[in-house]
Amino acid sequence: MWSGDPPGRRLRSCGIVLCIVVEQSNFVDRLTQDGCILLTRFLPELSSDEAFARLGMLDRIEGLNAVQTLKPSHKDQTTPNTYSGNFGNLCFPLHTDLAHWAVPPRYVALRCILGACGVTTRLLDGRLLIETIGIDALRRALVQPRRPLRNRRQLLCLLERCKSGTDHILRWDTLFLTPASPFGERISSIVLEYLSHEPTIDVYLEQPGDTLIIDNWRILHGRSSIPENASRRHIDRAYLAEVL
Amino acid sequence: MKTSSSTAAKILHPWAQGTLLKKAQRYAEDMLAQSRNDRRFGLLSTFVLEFLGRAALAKVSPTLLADTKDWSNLYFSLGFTPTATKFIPRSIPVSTVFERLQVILPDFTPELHGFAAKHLSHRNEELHAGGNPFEVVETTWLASYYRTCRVLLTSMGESLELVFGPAEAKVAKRLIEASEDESAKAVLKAIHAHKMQWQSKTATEASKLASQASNWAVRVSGHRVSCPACSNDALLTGAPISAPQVKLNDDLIVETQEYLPSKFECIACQLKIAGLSQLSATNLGMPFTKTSTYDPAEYYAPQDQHDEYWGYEDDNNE
Repeated sequence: MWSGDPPGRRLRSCGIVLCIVVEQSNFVDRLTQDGCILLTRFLPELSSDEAFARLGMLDRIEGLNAVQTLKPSHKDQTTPNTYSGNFGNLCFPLHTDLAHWAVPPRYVALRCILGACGVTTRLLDGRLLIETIGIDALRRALVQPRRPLRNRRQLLCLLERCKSGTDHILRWDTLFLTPASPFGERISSIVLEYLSHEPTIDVYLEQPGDTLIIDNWRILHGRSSIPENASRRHIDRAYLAEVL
Repeated sequence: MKTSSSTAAKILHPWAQGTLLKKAQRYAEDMLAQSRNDRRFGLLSTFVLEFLGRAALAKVSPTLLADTKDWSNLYFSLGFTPTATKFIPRSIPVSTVFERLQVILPDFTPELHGFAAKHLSHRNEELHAGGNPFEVVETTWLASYYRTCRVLLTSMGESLELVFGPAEAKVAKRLIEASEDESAKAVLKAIHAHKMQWQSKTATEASKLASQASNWAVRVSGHRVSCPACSNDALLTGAPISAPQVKLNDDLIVETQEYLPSKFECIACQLKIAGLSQLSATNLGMPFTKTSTYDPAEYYAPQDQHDEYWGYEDDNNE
């Protein structure tokens, strides 16, 4: 578990590497290499809009603001189409953001506005999962969104080949995705079992400006449970189409 | 604020290569869940073939799938929403899909085009007429089928494994190799020689041998077929290519398992054929299903009950 480690330090846990940097320069290479990066106290004096814009091109996601506010909510205080509406202040399972979309957003950026002790963002490198289960099996594992999107429930695979043909998009969500075939069901169970015992890196976003950038096509992320004294935690989230 | 056109996409176009390929994957899974001699195996195989054909054409461009009788279809294929009232997107018939593919893909030969057209005609007969084409058509079409699928998948940079899984892809490759092995056709000469020898036998001798062959070629020993030389009962044996499927039928346990043949033997005319390629050359190379029936008590009885010392602890050298 990480908290307050010095900048420049690279944390490793079961293959995942989290690089902590204060300098914005060169972070793209690190992000490409490791799949995620933490910028500590990154321009806390700027608004989130401005700070995110320094990092990359904001992705305009249909139906969402460019910058979204994430605050803990009790299950009964919000709607069942959200994670909080299902898990409340309990831990959020590891997932890909918008995994039920045909192409999920590339990067997720999480920026601390008001930190809270004891709340972590959990990360797991999907490359380990792919190595363990196999590209072919994951590409054959059919899943579907749990709800129709534009009146249809499209077929998706847990692993999709990118247009470039050289890289992959890993998707995973235990809530918003359901298996769409017996093989999809089998592989989903194996993934679930794998995730249940695979250790994660736990990152604290504590100081204003602490910004975690995640390659959403590779790294699965989740959130720990929210203790009573952490209900004012405030994180801003943006999706980035590319990083600068 | 700097924004870019989104890399994210909520849904893919229904005529996009990716969506069509996933439909092929789904139907292939349904197809392989059936026994090979089940009519649904053949019917579902045609759905897979159609989706692979459409996906291969969409890989070139989804616009090639649009029925151009109405320009709205073309507009739709480009990702726009036509404003025409009561618009329902229409794509070209599958026969046209294969016609276009024959022109576009050099490896999609007239032979494969002919096979695809014929195979889909069985589907049309199944769905639109009273005939039962998949009840009578044996799976001799599998080698050509997989060869066609392989060409279509290769054109998309994919392999048979993606759609049919590694185990079935292995079977498919063996069937394709066997069907392409021209040297295997030498076996036809051997069959002709045995046929001549059989015809030279006296009626009494032939009758006696035929009777012996019927008694010998029982199903527990292999898959009973008709000998291509003397037409008497003969046996095919091979190796399993799928896990056994168990069903309850009229209070009996029926276990079925798919086999790929590797050896043929007829004791009436003494014809023996070994190897899938030689068997394929004589139309004996298609997978067969071995069916065994058990009484439930026998099937589920603990094996230990057949142990003379059942009830005692395991042997040890104490």
